[in-house]
Amino acid sequence: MNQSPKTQNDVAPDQGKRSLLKKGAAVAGLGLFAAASAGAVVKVANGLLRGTAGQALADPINKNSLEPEYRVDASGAVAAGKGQRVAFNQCWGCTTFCGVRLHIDEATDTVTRVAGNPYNPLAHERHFSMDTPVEEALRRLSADKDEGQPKRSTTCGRGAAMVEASDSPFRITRCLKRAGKRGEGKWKTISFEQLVAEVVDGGDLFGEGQVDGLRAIREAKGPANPAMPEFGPQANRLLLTYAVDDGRENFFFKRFGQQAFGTKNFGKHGSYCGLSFRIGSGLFIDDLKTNAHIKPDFENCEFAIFWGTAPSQAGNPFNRSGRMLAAGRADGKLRYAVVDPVLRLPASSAARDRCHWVPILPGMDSALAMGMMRWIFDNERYDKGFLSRPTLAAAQAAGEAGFCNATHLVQLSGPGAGKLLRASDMGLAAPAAAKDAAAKPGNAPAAEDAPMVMNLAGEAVPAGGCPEAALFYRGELALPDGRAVTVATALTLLREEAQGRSLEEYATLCGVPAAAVADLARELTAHGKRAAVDVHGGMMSTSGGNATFTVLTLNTLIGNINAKGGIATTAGSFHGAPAQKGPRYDLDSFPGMIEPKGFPAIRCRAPYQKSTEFKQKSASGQNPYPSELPWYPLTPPNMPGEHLLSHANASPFRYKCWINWTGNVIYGHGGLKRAVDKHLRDPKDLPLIVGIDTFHNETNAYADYLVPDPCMYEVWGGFSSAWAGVLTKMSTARWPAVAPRQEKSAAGEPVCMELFCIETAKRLGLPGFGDQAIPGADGTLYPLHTPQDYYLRLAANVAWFKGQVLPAPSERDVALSGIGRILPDIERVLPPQERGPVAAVYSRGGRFAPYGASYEGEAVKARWERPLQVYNEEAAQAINSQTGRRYGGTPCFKPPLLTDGRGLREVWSEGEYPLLMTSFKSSLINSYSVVSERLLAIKPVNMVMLHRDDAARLGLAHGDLARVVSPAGSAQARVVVGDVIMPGVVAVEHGFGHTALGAADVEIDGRLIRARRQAAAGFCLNDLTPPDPTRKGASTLLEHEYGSAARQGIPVRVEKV
Amino acid sequence: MPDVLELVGALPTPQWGAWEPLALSLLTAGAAALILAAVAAWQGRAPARPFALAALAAGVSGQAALFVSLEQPLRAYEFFLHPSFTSWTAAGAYIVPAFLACALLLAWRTRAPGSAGRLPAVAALAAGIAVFVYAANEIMACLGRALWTGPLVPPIFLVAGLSGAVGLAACLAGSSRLTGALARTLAGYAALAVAGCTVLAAILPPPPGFAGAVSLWWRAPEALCLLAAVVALAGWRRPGLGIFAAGLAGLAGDFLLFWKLIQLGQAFPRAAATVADKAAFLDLFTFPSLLAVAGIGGLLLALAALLPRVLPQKPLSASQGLRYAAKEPS
Repeated sequence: MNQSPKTQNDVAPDQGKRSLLKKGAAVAGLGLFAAASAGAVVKVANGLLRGTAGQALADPINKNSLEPEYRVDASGAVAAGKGQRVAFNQCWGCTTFCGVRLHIDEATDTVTRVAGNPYNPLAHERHFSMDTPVEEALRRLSADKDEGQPKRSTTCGRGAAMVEASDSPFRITRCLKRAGKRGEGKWKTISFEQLVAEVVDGGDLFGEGQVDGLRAIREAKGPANPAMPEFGPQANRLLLTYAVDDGRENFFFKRFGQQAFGTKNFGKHGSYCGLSFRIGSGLFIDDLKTNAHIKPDFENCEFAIFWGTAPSQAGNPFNRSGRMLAAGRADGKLRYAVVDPVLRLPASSAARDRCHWVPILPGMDSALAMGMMRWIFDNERYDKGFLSRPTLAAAQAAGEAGFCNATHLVQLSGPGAGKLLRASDMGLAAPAAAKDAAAKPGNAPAAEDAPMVMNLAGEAVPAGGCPEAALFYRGELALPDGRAVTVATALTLLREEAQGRSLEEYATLCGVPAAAVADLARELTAHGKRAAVDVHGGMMSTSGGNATFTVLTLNTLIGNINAKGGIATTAGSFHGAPAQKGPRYDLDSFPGMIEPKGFPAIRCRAPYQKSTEFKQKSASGQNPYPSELPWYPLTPPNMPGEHLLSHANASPFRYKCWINWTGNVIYGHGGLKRAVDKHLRDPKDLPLIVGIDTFHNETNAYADYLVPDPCMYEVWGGFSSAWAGVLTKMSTARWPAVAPRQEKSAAGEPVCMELFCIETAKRLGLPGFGDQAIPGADGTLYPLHTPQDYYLRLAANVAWFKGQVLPAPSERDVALSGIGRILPDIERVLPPQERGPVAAVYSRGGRFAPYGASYEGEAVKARWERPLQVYNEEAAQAINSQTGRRYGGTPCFKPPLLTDGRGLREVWSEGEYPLLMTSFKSSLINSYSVVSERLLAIKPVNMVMLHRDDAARLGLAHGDLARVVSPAGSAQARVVVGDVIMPGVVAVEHGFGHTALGAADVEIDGRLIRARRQAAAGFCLNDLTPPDPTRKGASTLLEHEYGSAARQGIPVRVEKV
Repeated sequence: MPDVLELVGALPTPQWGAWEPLALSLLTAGAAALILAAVAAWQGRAPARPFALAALAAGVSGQAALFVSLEQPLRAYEFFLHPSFTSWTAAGAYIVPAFLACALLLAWRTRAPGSAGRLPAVAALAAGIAVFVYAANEIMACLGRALWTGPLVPPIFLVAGLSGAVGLAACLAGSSRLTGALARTLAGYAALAVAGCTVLAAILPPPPGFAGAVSLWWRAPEALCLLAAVVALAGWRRPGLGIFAAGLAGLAGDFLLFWKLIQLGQAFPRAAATVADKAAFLDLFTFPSLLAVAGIGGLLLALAALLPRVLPQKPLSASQGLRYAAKEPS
């Protein structure tokens, strides 16, 4: 280091400059840092002023985390947490209504956490037996002896998160009366008593003129429409709609609406949810009355095809299916395919090679199913042993667990064309043993008359006397009167239908390669009866009913009904039909009960041929077909969408009052809002609308009055069961585990749907309510003044089911199950001998048969004993009111069609709308869960998915803003691009795009509740559903034969924004 | 079967903020500097001084960035009020202050070359290593972030820290007329280190299943790293601005490598397949991020200006000057 010496004059200025620069740099640097960290200073200040976490800490280590609901000590003893209790109840997060275990903070009387009820099969694959003490159940769920993990009982993410809904600012807690125009969202509070009085008595309620109340509607004389008297009396101008069968529906529509008031017109959400699927199931399983359906026996199944459904993504039972799917692929032999236009959670990497995805064009499911059938027939891979048994007795003798009508002969000519050939047609008396076995229960003519089959010797014989019949036959038979009739077996007709096209043609139609069709059929037929085809709500195309029937018929071909590892229906419940009648109380009927009269206004399960329109057209020489509006001969009369369309079309009449309890048809039904909005906004058009609900939703936004209904776990209710997929009897109880938050009546009872019905009925003087309402087994008439007067008596019937009385719970059971708050009600309503068994029901969250009751040898214990329908005679007899043609009894390929039978693509060409829009369900957000901020924080907007080839053609990249344009309108969304969707398809996740449920301002007594922007996120594909141009009047796109809502396969185009 | 399954949807652009990458880059730079200072002090070599000052400056800045990033900064005192060793976060609450104390001690002891003492050097060495262990494990404990658990994470921490350490030390040494040759040497090492950052950023793979989903923006951090390396290589031999440029490039390499690991690591969501790599990278150029970078840069600048004054170097004795001159790298 050799530096030259410097003079002071040389150095000083340089050092001074450097020093100044350094000081300047230091000051500037610190200034910059201060500016950048100002936010932290604010946080520190907040921390100092409000505590380090904004609130005082309860514990230095655990901070403010929840107090455990209970603790288990080293000896295994269970002690409730300090100020906490547990309760077993019914979930509210979707329509599965799983059993849940609530963690309740006693100081605030709020539910702080939700998990699964281990007694309930919907929350546990191998649920605990009812005789397991609550203490033991809680111990098994804890970490004690490491049992907690293998024995865990869960609820899904939505069920766990929805608990916060009870605090939503958009919850209805007071009785409200419209203060502005319809749909403006302005309300004023009124008393419950005033609300009931105005709804019953009517008057100039809004300064807009006279409004008829329920009394005037019910007491008006004459038919609702004198020009069409077949639609019944004036009382039918009351429309009742509700959401789902959650255990309270019987009280609402059956007891109040039908048996007491006497209206024929009610609707529920199924028609805009999975009705196409349910009707298709009914066709398949021979149950068009209740449309029962099947689910795979996950535990023993080796190969399943999930078709238009996705366990662990959606479907029903959602929670249980997801758990069993995971267990089946991890621990069992389960392999599965998911047939769906969109790839969803069941096909995640967790499934490894156990799963494969079969992308398909929306609405073309019947093409794939027929292609598979073609391969199965060509290669003779069907179950001959199962198909050839013409009766249940023959099937059981052959070791089969169920049977079908594959061998039954169908008349193809003559006056009986379309009907099965029966013994009476041949002049033969059916053997007595065959009558019940082969006939359809509930069908009187069939019960006396066995179907004919061809025996192996080639002779036509009654089914009852034939242990094994010919599978295939087509020919002529001589009738006793000398006429010849062409007949064929049901299976012959199905084979001919399948062989009507080549495998390649079917493959082209559905977009699945022919080799993949063959592989799917090969795999399905390679596991004997341990395979299943499962369908659910994804069949919402305009031909979804037939598609479901066709797809499910694949099960028939492998003979898997009731078989271990095959398919099964529900095992039933403890609260169903028998329990409604007794043994303790008759809740099914009461003195003075009436029967509603007339055809349903929506022309369901009613013969068009007996209508005034048909008669008048026929009499004047006109062709009676098509009818003005479509009739639905096979559809249950509960479609609120069609109710409102009929109202808009004033056919057969306009309603005078609509009471909607929790349903949200305006949001949930494709294209309905556009079709009926102006009618609902006009009080002169529909004078009185009453909404009974927990939240302000899109439908009750039109209401004149709003009645608050309890939320979540505050509710007295009945019981719910598994839709299917549970092999043991079960009834999940709903009871108020915490106090209701809504206002009370003058008598001190929380206002709710039931109280509205009770007080309205009492004011109207209707039977079945009030002092002498419920017949007891001892002949006494018991009062019905509160919900618990009804539901606790239903619980007594459940506890006494078929004489198998539940033992009273122990004191520990009562203490640890949180039922203490309802014991006073139990004591007030029930006699001493019923209190213990009823308390036992609530202490376990319901009544459940033990897991061990699931199987019997190689079959399930709860068996479906009607014939699977290779040919559905009831459908084959029904006539399409638009075309005049019969529906057809054989599963077949049918593309998406419009009401008049034209194809969608004939009206909306591929040139203009090259893509097809389909929906899929979110695993977290359903149609009402946007009330949960927690769920929206995880999933803030819906997915709109596009295949990468389509995206490339349109110049769109992942995350780009695009416009989806349908014949009805357009919506913008950011697109998710990938190879997780069928090319040519746009998939929209359902549950978003709300205009209520927090997405719109609400004003009550001048106080504004501001909308939350997040609740309006995304768009709802229902807004893009077009009207049906082939149908007269107000319309929207519907299943063309059954009238349910259509949500899949809507023609659209996508444009870059 | 496609690799990518979307669960959530195309979400609005996420906002992450730059404080965490800044905290990690400066804490690791400080830790590496302290280790190098300890080694040099053990051997009585000249770089001990700039490395000790760099360790102190980077450590204080890193701790400040960490503090600012917390939702409730004052909660940090609870680690001391209620000692706990159940997580790496808790361990860090004791390790980082210990590290700062060691850095201060070493900076104090290296005021006079060659007199640091072996005990402070050993303590500093241990503290530096502890910071590396803590910081790396704090990130690797987040199992939901696939990018943060791979085998490349420890080397990333090491190379990024070295790059920041030698870069900052070069800047500090470059500001002193007495250490021109040392500064040049450090600048050279900084150029090498930032090149190492570039390589690591380039070979860091996206998590399995996302490879086909990333865009060119995934490569943007290494592109900037490469630019920094070019600047460093061009500047390290040139006194004055060249050395500063190389030193800053070292710091930039450190920061950019963490930007890739931390910010782009969060571009792979836990519940969706929407790879927001573009948004994650461009978050660097948002106002809050630029303000955070400028703020921490300002704090570093202030510390670089103030620390030599607060801890002034003692004049060399004749014998020390000879020994020091003999050991100084040429």
